[in-house]
Parts: sequence; C-alpha cells; structure tokens
Amino acid sequence: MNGPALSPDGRFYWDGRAWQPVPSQVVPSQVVPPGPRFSGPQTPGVVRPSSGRAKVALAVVLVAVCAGAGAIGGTAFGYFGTPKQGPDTPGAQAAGFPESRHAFLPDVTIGALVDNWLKGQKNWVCAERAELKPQRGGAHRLHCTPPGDDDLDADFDLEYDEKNQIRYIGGSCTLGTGTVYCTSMVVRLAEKLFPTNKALRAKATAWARKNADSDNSIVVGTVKIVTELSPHGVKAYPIAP
Amino acid sequence: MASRVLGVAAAAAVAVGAGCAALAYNVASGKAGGYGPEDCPSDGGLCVPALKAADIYSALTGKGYTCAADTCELQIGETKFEAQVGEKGGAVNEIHASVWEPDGEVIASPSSLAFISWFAELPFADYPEVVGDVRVWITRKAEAQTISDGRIAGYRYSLDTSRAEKVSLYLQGVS
Repeated sequence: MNGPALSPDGRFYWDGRAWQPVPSQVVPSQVVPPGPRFSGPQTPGVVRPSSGRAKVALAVVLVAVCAGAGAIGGTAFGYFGTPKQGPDTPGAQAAGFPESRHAFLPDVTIGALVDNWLKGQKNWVCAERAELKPQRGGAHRLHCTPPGDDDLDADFDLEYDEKNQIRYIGGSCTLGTGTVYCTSMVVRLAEKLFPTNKALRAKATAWARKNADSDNSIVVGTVKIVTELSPHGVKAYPIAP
Repeated sequence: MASRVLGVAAAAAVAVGAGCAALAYNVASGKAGGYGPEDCPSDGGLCVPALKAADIYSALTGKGYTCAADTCELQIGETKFEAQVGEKGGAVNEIHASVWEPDGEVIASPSSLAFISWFAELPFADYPEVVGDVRVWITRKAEAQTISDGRIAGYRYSLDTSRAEKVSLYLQGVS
C-alpha cells in the first residue's frame, strides 16, 4: 500500500488532491488503494470533489446561515424593539376652532341692555332667581319683567358670565301676535344688539320688523336672532364661527 | 490552506450576518415604529404614544372649556361642544367628541369641523402628512351625512354625521 494510487487503466495516479498523469517510470502494476477511487463519469484530468472543495461549500453555507440568522434577528429586534411614536403635545387648533370668546354677544353689555334700557328707560325689574338656573353655561341668569308683570306677561332672560360677556338673551311676550308691545320688544332688542355697528343694527332691525310675528331666524354678524310664535318671543345668541 | 479558507469564510459570514441584521432592523423598525398606538401604561388596551390626557384637558381649558372628570365642554349659543377622553395610566385610550345643537344644523359648520378634526388628528399631531389625510377623511365623511367607520394607522374611527343637528366622533387604538 505504498506509493500513489493508480487509476484502473494505470494512466493516472492520485496525489492526494487530484488525478495526475502517470510518468513513464511509475510501475503500472500497483494496486488501487482503498480510499479515493477513479469511477463513474469522471474523466481523468478533471479535478474531483475534495476536502478543499467541501470546505468552500462549508464556507458558503456558513455565510448563508449567518446572513439568515442576522436577517431574522434584525427583523425581530427591529419590529418588537422599536417603540411607537406619538405627539408630546396636542396639535394646534385650526382657525375656527370653537373657544369661549365666541360664546358671548360681541358688542352688548349688561350695563347697556339691562341698566340703561330695561331698567333705566322701561322701568323693568331684573333679578337673579334661585329657581332659574343658567342653562347655557353662564355663571349668572338674570330675569327681567316689566312693572306690573302680572298684567303684561312679558319677560327677558339673560345669561352671562361677566357684565360684558352675555351668552344668551331670550324674551317672551304673550300679549298676542301683532301687538305693538310684543313687536316693539323684538325690534328694540334687535337694535340694542348692535350699539356700535350701524350697518348690522339696520339689518337686524329691518329684519325684526318683518319677522316679529313669525317663526324665523337670521344671522347678523356673529349673532343669531330667532323669532318664535309659540311661545311668542325672540332669542339672540352668538353662533360658533 | 484549508484553515485559511475557513477563517476567511467565518469573517465573511460575520460581516454578511451583521449587514443583514442591520438591514432587517432598519426595515422592521420602520414598519414597527411610526404613529400607531402602543400598549397603555396600565389596565391593558392601546393608547396614543406620548400624548397625555392632561395635555388635552389643558389645551381645552386654555380655550375656555370647562373640564370635569373626563369630560370637557363649551356652549356657544345653542351649540354644545363636548369631549370625553378615556385615559389609562394618564395616556389617551379613547376619545369621544361631539357637537350638538337642538333644531340646528351643525354638520356644515366650520367650527364643528375644526372641533371634530382636532380630536381626530391628535394621535398624529407630529405627522403633518397624516394630519392632512385625516382631515380629508373627516371632511369627506361629514359631507356623506352617514355613519362612517374606518381605520387609520392602528386607530378605529367612527364618525356619525347622519343627523343634521349632531356630529360625533369616536376613536380608539385597536392595533
């Protein structure tokens, strides 16, 4: 079993890595040793699978395994280890976002409406009543009635926070549609809502004269005026922008 | 010779593995991160990341809203703006916002849209492009005057514009 292994035809010998042509001095009678055999479709002169090639294959497999493991690990860590993002603070509110400054009639005060007009000019009586709670978010609710209310059966309700922050005005008059007293209440209120804006005041009063005895509404500036027949009355309040 | 091949292969394997891991991490973290909901700090469920319910209350009281318990409200004339913020561990778990005016028509009101949209956009306040998408969705559905359900980036939205006098929005993190 000494010396190189020969191919069956004796023309090649195995040098441990590949089959090599047998030099003329090599004795052809040597027996093929166990181990690498020259067989199958292989032809002499072609490099045969060897431990070197196996190592290359092993290296490829190693790289592939590492690539796969890295991909799986990276995916898992990236997906499960990444926190969600969120805002630290709420976003800015868009123009027109409703806020409390929109909740008040823009140009009218308790002083002008109640002190000067109702109490001063018409001698009405205004007071907060324990049984009348604010209904529209106001801090106060003022109830005003003409002198001798039992006879006239008319009133105004006002909700407000501060004296220049009136949220709502509602008036009722049950003397009947078409009566001067009731029509005057509606028209005069429309007039008082716009003490400084002549154009809005003219628009509001003109509409009030036509609609004092109807179910109707109009928006003048940022104020909504509503007339009602049942019960007969008028309401005025700001509208959201 | 063979050991040198194996050495080079091992080094290459480590390099390729690290490269693949980094690439996969970037892709996966990009998918996983972003603006979806995350687990609430307590009591289960999903919450808006980072945002605190107290910050919403603060933003609203700054605009004159009255907030008590989990509800904030503002009345302008006959129109009532109301919001309820469900919180878990201080984080925002769900939001219900509504605008209501008896005998009114709040659907077409710009202030109604601004109010509802602000709450709808809260989870994405840092993402202008998503805020734009949400606003478009709200506007379109409001015009449809119906009950609309949708999912946006892990949040479930329900917008009810089926009645002229009331608009309501509900949103909750789902996945």
